[in-house]
Amino acid sequence: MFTIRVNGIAHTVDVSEDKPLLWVLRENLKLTGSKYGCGQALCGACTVHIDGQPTRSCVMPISAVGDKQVRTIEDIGNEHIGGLVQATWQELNVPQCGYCQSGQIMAATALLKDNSSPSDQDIDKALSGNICRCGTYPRIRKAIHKIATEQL
Amino acid sequence: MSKLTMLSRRNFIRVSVMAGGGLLVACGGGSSSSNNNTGTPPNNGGEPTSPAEAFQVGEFMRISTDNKITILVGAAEIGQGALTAIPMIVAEELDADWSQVSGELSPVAANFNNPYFQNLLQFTVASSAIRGYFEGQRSVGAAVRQMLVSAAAKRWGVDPSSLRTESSYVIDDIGGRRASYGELSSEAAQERVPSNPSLKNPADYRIIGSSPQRLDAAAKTDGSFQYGIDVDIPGMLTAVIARPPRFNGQALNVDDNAALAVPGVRGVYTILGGVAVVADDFWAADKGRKALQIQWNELLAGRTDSDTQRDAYNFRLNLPGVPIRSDGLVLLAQTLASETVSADYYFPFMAHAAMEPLNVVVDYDGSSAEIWTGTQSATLDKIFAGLILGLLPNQITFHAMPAGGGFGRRGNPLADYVRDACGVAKQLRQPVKVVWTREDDMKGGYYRPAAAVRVSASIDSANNISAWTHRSVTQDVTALLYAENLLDSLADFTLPPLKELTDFETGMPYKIDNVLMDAHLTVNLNMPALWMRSVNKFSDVFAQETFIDELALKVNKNPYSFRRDLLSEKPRHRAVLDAVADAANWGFPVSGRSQGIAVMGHWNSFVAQVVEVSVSANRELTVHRVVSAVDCGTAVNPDLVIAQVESAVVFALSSILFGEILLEDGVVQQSNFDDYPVLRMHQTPTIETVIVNSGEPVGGVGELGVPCVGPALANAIFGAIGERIRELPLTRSNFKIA
Amino acid sequence: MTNSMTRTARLIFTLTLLGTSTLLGHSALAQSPLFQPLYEVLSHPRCMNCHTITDFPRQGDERRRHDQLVVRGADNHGAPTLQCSACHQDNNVADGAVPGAPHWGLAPLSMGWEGLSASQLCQVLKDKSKNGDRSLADLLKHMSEDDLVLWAWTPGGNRTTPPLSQPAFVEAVQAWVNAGGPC
Repeated sequence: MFTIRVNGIAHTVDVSEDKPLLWVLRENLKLTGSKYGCGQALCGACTVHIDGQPTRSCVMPISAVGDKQVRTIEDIGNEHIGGLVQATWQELNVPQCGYCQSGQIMAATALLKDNSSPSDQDIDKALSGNICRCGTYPRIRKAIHKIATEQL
Repeated sequence: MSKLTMLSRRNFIRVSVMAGGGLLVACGGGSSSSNNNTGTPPNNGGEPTSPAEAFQVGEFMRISTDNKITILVGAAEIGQGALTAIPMIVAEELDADWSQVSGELSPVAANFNNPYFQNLLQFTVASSAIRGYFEGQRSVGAAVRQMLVSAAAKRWGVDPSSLRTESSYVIDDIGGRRASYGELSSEAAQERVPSNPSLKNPADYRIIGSSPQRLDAAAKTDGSFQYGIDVDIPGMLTAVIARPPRFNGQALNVDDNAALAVPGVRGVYTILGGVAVVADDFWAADKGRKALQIQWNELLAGRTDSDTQRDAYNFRLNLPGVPIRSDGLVLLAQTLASETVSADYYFPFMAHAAMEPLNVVVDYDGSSAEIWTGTQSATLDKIFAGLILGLLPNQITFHAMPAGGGFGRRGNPLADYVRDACGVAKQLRQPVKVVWTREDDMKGGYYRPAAAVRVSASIDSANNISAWTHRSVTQDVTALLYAENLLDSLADFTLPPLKELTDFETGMPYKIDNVLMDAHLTVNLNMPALWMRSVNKFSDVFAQETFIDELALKVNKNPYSFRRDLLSEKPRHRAVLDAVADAANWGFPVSGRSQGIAVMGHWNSFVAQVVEVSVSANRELTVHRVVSAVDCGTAVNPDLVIAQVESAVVFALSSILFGEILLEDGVVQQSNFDDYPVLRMHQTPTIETVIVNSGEPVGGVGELGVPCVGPALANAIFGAIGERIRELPLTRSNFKIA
Repeated sequence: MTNSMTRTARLIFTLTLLGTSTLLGHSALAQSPLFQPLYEVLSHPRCMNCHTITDFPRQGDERRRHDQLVVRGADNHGAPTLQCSACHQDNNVADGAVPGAPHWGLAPLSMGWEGLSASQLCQVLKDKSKNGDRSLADLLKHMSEDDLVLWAWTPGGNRTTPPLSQPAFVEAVQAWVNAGGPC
């Protein structure tokens, strides 16, 4: 039995200790916004915030979560910057298939919370762990700059 | 391509009053008796799922009394925006208030078949969604608009011609009154359906040609959008399948003791494609699979080896193939030429690697089945599911889910992943989600086939190209399956000529009098190959457009003007070529960089691209900028067209720089994004795209941006370091990718 | 006594073997034979990939630049919002594909060893202004007990391990420390 805090709510789940947080979120808590893409921290589709830091939930065993705060795409809109990122993503038609965008948005939100005027290099360093096969990278970059310039 | 619209083909649509009021537009040609398909992925498109009883097969559109309009889309949503662009087409002719329009994926039913494929099936490949559905969807919108006007005219006792429509209202300017479509919908449902509604003059388009936000954008930014992998039904188990290390291997002996001992594992089932481990959750299934001991029967297994195959393909380049285009007298021209030059190219297998790994949910109880999966090929998937499960089409409810990428992999006419999942469900008789891991997806075959290409050109004494040959060697599977042309021909009950079966690029556009293009289609049933975004154009255009560049420099001409001169009879090619040269400031790259250019036409569309690169002394390659000019006839949503081109550029760069699936004695060597890298943010160039508005009929754009990136990039590398690229990916030529 | 002699004999044998192979292979031989085994371990990719002199780590035995544009960052633990711990947990993942150990990160730039000869590396290793103010005893403790150091011998997956076993390495460090840390 593990009790983890997700989006401000404590959940107790009965799973094996090595089950990755991603699958606990998706299967046990029915929070399917975080996606399975590679299972090896190579693509970033599963990115959640652990105490505010973007983390690949596909390689984080449930036993490692402890009392850390988990925040997922389902709740990120309740943060000021998370909401701005979502709105700007929509405005610029960033998503295509959309599958990687939960991870992209979690990474972009963390970046903008840490750095209100990121350079192109800052964006590269913060988001090159997130793969998009539809190639939305230019729009992601544009959206981050737009938020930083107009709203932060 | 068929010019038949859905209306003229079926002659009539059926319009009826919806349960609870409102108007329902259905197609009268439908005969499917499937009756319990809500057809609507939960929460996608922002509309609540409609109750099943309000749904009828053949439904195209719902107008509810509160003036909300829901348009059903028969094409797959794989990221390209069909769920937005197709409703735009209907809404345009309907004069709908776009802010009240939503889109839903349709059920799998004949009425939603893609007209591009002769209305034979729902199939979203070959950049055919907009091309296929455009005219028919316009007619549906126009017919319903006309009925709403008639209903209003009756209500007010005026001549319909005195009324106009705007933003979901019928307006009587003289009488100073207006009524919403919602208000009129029940009365309109009583009107006669016009068989030949008048369509708008394109000059009057208000929605087509504008760029509203994607209808699925909001749900794709808050985690609520439901993909196949997110489907969850009561009592559902999860399965992963251990597949043979070599294609077509068969499980001979299975020791499942250790697997069954893994907590959560419910069962192990041998199916045709491998051994399935079924468990309470993914993690247990995956652990169970690792604990399986399987002895494989590899008597009939594939032993394709990349190096051996390459040698065989190169050998075949020396032998004449089956002619697919023959103009003039090539042999004579070659004899008379002052010089004939040639070059050989090689392209490896490549994996689609869509972000959402393949997955299927099947709920089979012995007498009926419900299936959910992200697919580009719903009709054929459903047919195969019926064959495996022994069910009739009306016993299967098939939900084509939006997919996290497709690129052709989800358009497999052999429905491999649906067959696998049905094989598991047939034994299990309990709801099951079959999940492919990334490794399964990467190793699972159905790759872009490897190809070898030889091009030659003869130059006469006046420095003109007098002859051109182009020979391709690639795998037959793609060609035989190339339904785009096959189905056209079969629909006419004719046996298609070989050249129409294939999707070889025979459209070499340059004004050269003597042309011979031929092909070898190798057969390898043990090496599953499939189309991948832009199919053979990827390799054929690479060879054509790098070689034409060599010829330009050989006769001391600028690669741009050389092409331009040879395109004097191809105005649309020329227009995009001029547009890209202008937009990219051709001839004046940023200092330290080099430019390359390429042009092509296919899918009723045209594209030219300029790539700007720099190469450092230690071969570090930086792609700085890619500029594209595209002419897709009519851009329904120009911003989505631009997005598709951006997408194609990134997709192409992944293939060109890194894409390579290697087989050693039948075993695929790549497994995940570490050994099959794809382009990432820091490697992505500036991408600029201009649309050339030709006003011609709609063309396809999903694949358009892919083929020219490679040759333009290779030509730019030549400009930088004087080295010709004859094989892909570039990492093979020891380039380091910055 | 016997045990100690056996250990010494084993050490000398190992050193001879290593010395020979090193002479044949490359010219990174330490001046002090006691440091040579340490050098062979410290210059292995499992150690060197994160003891870099660049603003990024490396990965694999081919020592390619770390994928995903991973950078050193101000505190040697990655970019502000792409920390090493985004992917590297306290343990390797089950199948070893993603390595993990507590406080995963790069060694500070002052401890960057790339390009150093064996004797240079030895000097840098002992230099308290560069080694985190560690005495020889502290170095012994670090190299024999630190989780991240120990990870090099249980790296997961198909990763190679340093040429000496972990106990042999500790013995070698002990011998080197006992001798006063000769370079």
